Amino acid sequence: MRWRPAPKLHVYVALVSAAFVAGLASGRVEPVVLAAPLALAVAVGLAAAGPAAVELGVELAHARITEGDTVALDVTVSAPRGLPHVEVVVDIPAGLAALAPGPARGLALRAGEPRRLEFALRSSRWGSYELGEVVVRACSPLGLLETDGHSTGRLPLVVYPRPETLRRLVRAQQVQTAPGLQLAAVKGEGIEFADARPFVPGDRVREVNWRITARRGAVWVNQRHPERSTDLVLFLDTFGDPTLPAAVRAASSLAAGYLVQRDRVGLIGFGGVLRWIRPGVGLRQEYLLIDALLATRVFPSVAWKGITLLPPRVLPPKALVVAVSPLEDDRALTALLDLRDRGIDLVILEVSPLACMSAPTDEAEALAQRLWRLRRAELRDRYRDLGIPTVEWSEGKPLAAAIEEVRAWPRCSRRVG
Amino acid sequence: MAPMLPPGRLGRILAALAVAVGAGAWAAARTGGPAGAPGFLVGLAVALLTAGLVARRPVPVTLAIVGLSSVYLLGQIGQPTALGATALFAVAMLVVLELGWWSTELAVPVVWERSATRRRWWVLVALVAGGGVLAFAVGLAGVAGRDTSLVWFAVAAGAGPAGAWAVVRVTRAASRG
Repeated sequence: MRWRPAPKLHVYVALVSAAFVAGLASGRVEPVVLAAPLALAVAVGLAAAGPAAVELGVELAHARITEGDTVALDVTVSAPRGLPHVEVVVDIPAGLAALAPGPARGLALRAGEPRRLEFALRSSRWGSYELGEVVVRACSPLGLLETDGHSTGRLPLVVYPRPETLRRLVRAQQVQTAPGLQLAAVKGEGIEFADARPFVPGDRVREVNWRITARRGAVWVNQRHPERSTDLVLFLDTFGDPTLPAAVRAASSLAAGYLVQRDRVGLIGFGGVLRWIRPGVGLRQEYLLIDALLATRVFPSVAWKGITLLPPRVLPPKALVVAVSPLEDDRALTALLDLRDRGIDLVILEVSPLACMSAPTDEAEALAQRLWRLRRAELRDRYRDLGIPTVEWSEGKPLAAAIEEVRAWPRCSRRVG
Repeated sequence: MAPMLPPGRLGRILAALAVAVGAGAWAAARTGGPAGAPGFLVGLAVALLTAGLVARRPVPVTLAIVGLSSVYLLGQIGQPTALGATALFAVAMLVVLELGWWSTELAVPVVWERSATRRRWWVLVALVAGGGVLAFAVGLAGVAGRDTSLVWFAVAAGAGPAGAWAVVRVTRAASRG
């Protein structure tokens, strides 16, 4: 770092020079007297300036946080010789905000004494961020010389979406063979009572229902519902730009909810770029899904895409597919219909783009918006007629309410058109 | 809704304006009364200063100082040299200029530590004191042998460098903490 003249130095020197010229030209001492304090300021400002050297260090307390949490960015500043005016400004990307006292601090540095400044940043939106861009500006006494520098380090910060608490989830119509927490419709080994039947050779004695046996005069045994897991595939429509943050948040909440119940969860990102994660279970799968969701972006593409591009193992048999989509792009709409035609258990969570729209300004715009709404309602009815539960949800509303709406849907009595 | 000015900046702006209005009114009164052209010039300079301070533009602040100083110098035409008054006016202009530049720094609202602000005020006070002494000394040296005796020239020749040296010491001490 090297000192460079600040604009103030140019102005002071110009004023002093003009006053001296005026004094010489007029033959009077008053202009020189007026300029004398300014000349003193210039002399003092230049004489008192030491070497311009500032050392900067940046650290991030956590690399991963959840949406709404606060993370501390520590900036350490030191100088071999004292500096009276040092401004430290942290560049904060959109989606993060600096808490009080703000992203810019001013301090005086003593010689060789490092100072640690803590900037508290609150995350307001999920995503991957890069921090560490810190600009430091130092001035000599009286601000006649200045210098600046910035840190070169890049500190990654991942902000996970805050999952919404879901007490109940949408259940698949068919369960898998792996154990889980969902009651299967079939009878077998389990905890929940299902029925009683007469004893047949091979039944275990512990299953005998003694009350019924005593009443009937013959040995009867209990039958139970086994607990099984389900396969969930999240179909994330990434064609819709304004609704994508809400869609990712909903998908993240659903993934977390199902994984807690030991269900297998997979992901299909259906958009300009097609990506998938095969269904899996456990903490590793949760991180895989969240990282994939955080990396989700809208890529403009006109290429026609269908579900035929997907490997068969991404869509296992008996899987429940929850499509999180704004129902806007024809490619996504066709893909959903293809899924339904293949007999896949499909639920559509429509992320409403209405929340992202501004109010109409004139009559023509209002009419256009009304027609658009009618078209959307017709599309929704079309899916419902095909027996696909389609519920509308927008950010700000509880996701649990939408889930309950799906659960109330008569999914066993489908009208197939 | 317009953002609120930080209290420190507001204080500096008000202080600069108060000193500028006082010095301008005094200069206009010495020139020929506040009603004429000097009064108009002072009003224009104060308006420029206000605009520059509020909009964080140092150029209008500098132009305002030039305007106020011009009014004062015009009033001195044909008058005997008034060293004390001129030195006082010079110090007032320095105060306005320093406070003005301080108020126009960085558009990003920097939150300064108290110790840094306190040191800056000490340096300003030292500069004002040293600047006043130096201005008077320069004036004495300038009129020595014409309006005053050579003894005063010697006093001025000693006092000026001494004042400057004292200010440098104070500033360096404040910088190093």
